[in-house]
Amino acid sequence: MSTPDPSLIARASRGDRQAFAELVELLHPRALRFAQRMLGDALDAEDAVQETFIRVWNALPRFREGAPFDPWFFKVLGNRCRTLLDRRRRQMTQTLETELPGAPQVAQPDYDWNEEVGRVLAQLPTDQREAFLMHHVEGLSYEEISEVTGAGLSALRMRVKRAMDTLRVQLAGVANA
Amino acid sequence: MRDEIKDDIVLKRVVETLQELPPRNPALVARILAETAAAPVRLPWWRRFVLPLPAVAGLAAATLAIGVWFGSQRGGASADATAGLPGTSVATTPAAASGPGGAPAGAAMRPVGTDDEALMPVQFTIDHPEAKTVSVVGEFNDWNPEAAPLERDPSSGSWTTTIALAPGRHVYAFVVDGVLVADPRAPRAADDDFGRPGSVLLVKRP
Repeated sequence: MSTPDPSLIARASRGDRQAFAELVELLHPRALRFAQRMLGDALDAEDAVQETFIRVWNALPRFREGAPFDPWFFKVLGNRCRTLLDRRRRQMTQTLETELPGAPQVAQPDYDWNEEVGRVLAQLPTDQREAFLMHHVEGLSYEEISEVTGAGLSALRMRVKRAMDTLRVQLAGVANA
Repeated sequence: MRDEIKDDIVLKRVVETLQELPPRNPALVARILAETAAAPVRLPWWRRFVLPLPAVAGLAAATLAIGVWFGSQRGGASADATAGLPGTSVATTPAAASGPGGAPAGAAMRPVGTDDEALMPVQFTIDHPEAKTVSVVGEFNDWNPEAAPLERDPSSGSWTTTIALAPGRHVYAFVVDGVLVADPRAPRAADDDFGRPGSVLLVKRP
C-alpha cells in the first residue's frame, strides 16, 4: 500500500516542492485507481486526480502534522469524483431531454472478467461504490470512511454489505465461466 | 485482504482485480507539477510558531476557559460544549439580533461579505489571567494573530475585544500565548478538515 511517510508529508506541508513531487509520484497510481473505479472513465479520472493534487498542494500547509493522511486525501479525492459525477449526470439529463427516445440499450454478452467487474461496479449506487472501494480496495477503516464521507458507521457497513451482495450475485456466473 | 471476504471466492477475486494499480502516468505527474509550480507557497501563520508539545499540554492542563457568547439567544448553544471544562469565561457578543452591543471592530479587521452588508459588532472575551497575549483569529482576518489582539482587564483577568463582522457563519479560534485554541463553549467547525481547531459563530442579520 503506497501510504506516504509522515516525514514526507511534513516536508511537503512546509512548502517543499521536491517533497510534494515525491508525494505525487507515490500517490498518483493509487489515486488514479480509485478515481477510475469511481468514474469509470480514464480521462475523467485524470482530471479528478489532477484537481485533487492541486487542492492538496494548496491545503497542505494547513494540514496538521501527524494526522492520518489517507482519510484526508481520499476526502478531497472523493469530493472531486462526486463533483464530476454530478456534472456528468446533469449533462446526461440535458442530453436525454433533447433527444428522441431510442431503442433500449441491450447489454452485450461479455465475459471479460475485468470489464465485467467494472460494469457491475459502475451499476452500484455512488454511495455503495465509494464505501466499498474505500474499505476493501483502499484499506480505510469504517471510522476513517465515516470521517471522509460524514456517514454513520452502521450506514457505511450497510452500503458495503449491499455492494458486496450485488457484486457476488452479478459476478458469480462470470467467475465460474 | 480483509477477513470478511478472504473465504469468499468471488469477492476475493473482485478485490484482487480492483487492487491492481494502474501504471504510473508521467504526463499526469508533469501536468500536476506544472500547475502547482505556478502556485505560491502560502504558509499559514501557525507555521511561524514552534509549539512544543509540553507547552500545549501545559496549557490544556491549566484552567483555561474561553468562550464566546452569542448574545442571550445563543447562550444555550455553548453549554454542552463546556461540559467537563473548568470554564469561567466567556465572552461576548453582541448582539447581532438585539442591537449593537459593542464598539466597532478595529481597522485591521476585514469583514466577510460584501461591502453593502451591515456589519455587526461581536465581542470576544476569554478569562485567562495568566496569559501574556491573546488574540482572535478567523477567516475574517485571514487567521492573522496580530490583527485582533484582546485587551486584558486588570481587575478581572479577562481579555476582551470587539470586532465588526458581516452577518453569516464565521470560523474562528483564539490564540493564547501562541497556541491555537478552539472555543470550548461554541460549536466546533464541522468542516475543519485540516485538523486545526476551529469554532463556529453565527452572526444574525440586523
